[in-house]
Amino acid sequence: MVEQTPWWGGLLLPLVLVVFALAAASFDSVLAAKAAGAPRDFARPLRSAAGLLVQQRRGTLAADSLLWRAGGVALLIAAVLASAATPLGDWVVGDMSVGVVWFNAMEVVAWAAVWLVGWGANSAFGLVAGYRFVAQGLAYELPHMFALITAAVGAGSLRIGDIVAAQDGLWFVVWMPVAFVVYLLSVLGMAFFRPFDQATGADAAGGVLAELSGVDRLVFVAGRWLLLVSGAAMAVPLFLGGGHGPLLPGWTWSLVKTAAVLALLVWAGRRFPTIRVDRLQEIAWMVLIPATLLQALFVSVVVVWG
Amino acid sequence: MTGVVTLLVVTTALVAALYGVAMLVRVGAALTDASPFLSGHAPQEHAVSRYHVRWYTITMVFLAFDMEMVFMYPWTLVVARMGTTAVVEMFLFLAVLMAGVWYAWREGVFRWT
Amino acid sequence: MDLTAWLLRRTPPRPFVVATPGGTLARFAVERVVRERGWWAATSPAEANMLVVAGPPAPGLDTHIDRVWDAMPAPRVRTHVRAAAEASAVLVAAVAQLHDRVRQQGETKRRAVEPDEQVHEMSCGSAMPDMDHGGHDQHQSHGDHHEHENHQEHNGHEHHDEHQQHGGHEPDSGPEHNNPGHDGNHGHDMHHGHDMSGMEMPGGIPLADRAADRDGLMLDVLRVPLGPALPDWPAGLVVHTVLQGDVVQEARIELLGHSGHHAAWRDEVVDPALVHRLDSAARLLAIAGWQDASTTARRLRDEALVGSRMPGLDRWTRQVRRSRTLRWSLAGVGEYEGTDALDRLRHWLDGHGEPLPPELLPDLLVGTELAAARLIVAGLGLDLDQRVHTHG
Repeated sequence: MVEQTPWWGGLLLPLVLVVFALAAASFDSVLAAKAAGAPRDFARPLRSAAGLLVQQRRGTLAADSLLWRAGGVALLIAAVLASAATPLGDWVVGDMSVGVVWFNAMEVVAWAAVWLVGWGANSAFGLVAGYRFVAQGLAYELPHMFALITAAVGAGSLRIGDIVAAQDGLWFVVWMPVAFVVYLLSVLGMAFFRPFDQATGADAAGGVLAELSGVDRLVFVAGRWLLLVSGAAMAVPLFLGGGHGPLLPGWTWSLVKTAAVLALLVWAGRRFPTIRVDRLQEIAWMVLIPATLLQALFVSVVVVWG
Repeated sequence: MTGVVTLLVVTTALVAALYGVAMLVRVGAALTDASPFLSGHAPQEHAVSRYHVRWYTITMVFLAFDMEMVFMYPWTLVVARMGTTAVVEMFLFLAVLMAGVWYAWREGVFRWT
Repeated sequence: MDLTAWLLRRTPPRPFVVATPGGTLARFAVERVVRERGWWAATSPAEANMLVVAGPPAPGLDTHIDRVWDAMPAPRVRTHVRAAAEASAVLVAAVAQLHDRVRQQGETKRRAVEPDEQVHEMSCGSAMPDMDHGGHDQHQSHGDHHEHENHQEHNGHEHHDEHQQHGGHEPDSGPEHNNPGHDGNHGHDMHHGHDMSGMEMPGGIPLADRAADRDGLMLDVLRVPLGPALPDWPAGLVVHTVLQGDVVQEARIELLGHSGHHAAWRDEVVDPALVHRLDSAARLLAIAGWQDASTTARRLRDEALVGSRMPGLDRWTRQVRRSRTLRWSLAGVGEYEGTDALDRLRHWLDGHGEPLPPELLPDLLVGTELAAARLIVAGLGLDLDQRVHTHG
């Protein structure tokens, strides 16, 4: 049974998320080194962070500095808060009756954050890329919400703990495979991670990242990795049975499953070229949304008559 | 909820600490009024401008669906109890919205290039 | 303990590579060092800490390179790889300078006292990018713009001569400068009659102006030049675009620094056609956002360059050919004589396909989005150095 931790749970959660983010970034850099035929460098994310800490910050000409910086900070904070309702085994920082909605609300902050970072720099590439992300949001958000709702319908509750409890015996991924796959795609989309990385695309000189340097860049990039981690972590209680599993304690299962989902996302992302937002739109509306709706209908029918 | 408040405070403090550490170890004060990157050219006007969003019709369709979500979240809590009526009503509503999406698709709303 | 020095020594180099005309082989060598050492190339000056100019000195590109340098945050180091053979040594030396705290902090202090010239340039409302081959001391002549519209016809020496005349012009700058000329005869007349003194000019540059779009709506336009200091971009090419949103409304090309006497790289390579196809594919894949496939293509190119066996070629070819998402991104992009970017990429994979001329670009680019425009340019497989050889 999922129980709320005392207040100090809020102290430990960021640490867990940061460790996951560093591990994911490290795995990513090892994959990059393999493709390049370069020596493996597990500490690469830490060295990059070191470089960004010593690097000069920069302000561009007539930039909207307040909104520009606020975007980066908001992304990081929302990415961490998104995990407040995600249980680690039997523990959860905030056992909310509307945990699913909470996660949804935090993840949506990325829309504003990424656009602000693109817009605030007063740079043409950033501006174009910021709008690309908003367009991407229009494509992934609805399938994402239908996937979340499908899991909630399956459990008849918006509380994450109840959703985990409902999977005692049969994981939701077994009878909601479409929702699960769409959820993973939408996690890549919301974290503007490969292959949905047009907002930071090489074709637009790094897009919203084009003018960021120093600690401002570090905060934004860290926020992006943390958002990916939060999204991957939420897949575990929603579809993969949370802490359920044989022999090992629940928290171990949560960690193992999260690591597996995260590794899958990082690995799979590198296998594809960037998906252009304008090409994605039609697929999102005409394939992903109908598919998730049929999945939701199927689950509702099972819940009512099953 | 004290845990969530702690989480917010700790995360904010971590961001502040990052900025603080960076202030101490950086090799120099911030570069001000840098030229935005334009392949080595100087900007001829401010990039911040009224942007031509050619996919604005999609935002309209999106809004219709997004309002629907406001109903669908509470609906998940009662669907098992209310039974068939709840399912029929919700999916009829969604079918109407999907008909709208289909019409929009036929009009080419989702292709703007 | 000196924490700054400790962190600085661990900073991974992030090179921003600008190739100059005639510098194809130098660029290959630089990219090889970058790849094999596990560095990641920067996509913008803000991300970079190392500016690498690859190829022979090209006066026509100096201002652009200077401006990239000025926009780079410290720690930073600037270096020039003139020929392929020296790439490794030059870059290793650059890393030592990058990791030198005393040097970096000293330079940053000096820079704070003497701000970069670009602030002055921008107060003119515009700048002549390619007239400054003499170096920093000529920046005051930037106020002069009259002959901008001629540049597209000018190449090589003629181009330079004209600029020498410019050197003697009176300095004529300042925010009150009435500035109709920066836009010359580009084919649109939105700037006519504007007096900058009456306009709001935050930071010394004007707000975006408006022009009619394809539906006749008056919308804001941005002038966004692409190249020459742009990663994975043909050396010396500039495409002056006018954007509404991210749609290219107008495009005009300019070739910088192609003076016609560069050594032709194709004479020094075993199978130049194969090398060029692999390099073109690597660039197209990089722009398409497929980092790993692009890196593999560069690795194969480096193997082809020295004529060695390429064990991964078949596997890579299959992977690229089969990719549904790549097909999805490239289909219908840059259609010319019945082929699009996807067809041309497949021709490269099949072992044929000649580079297309850059003159096609304006017609192909107008009406496309920035993302598609970048794919179109990369998908032509331009070889401007070869062109120098045959026409020069």
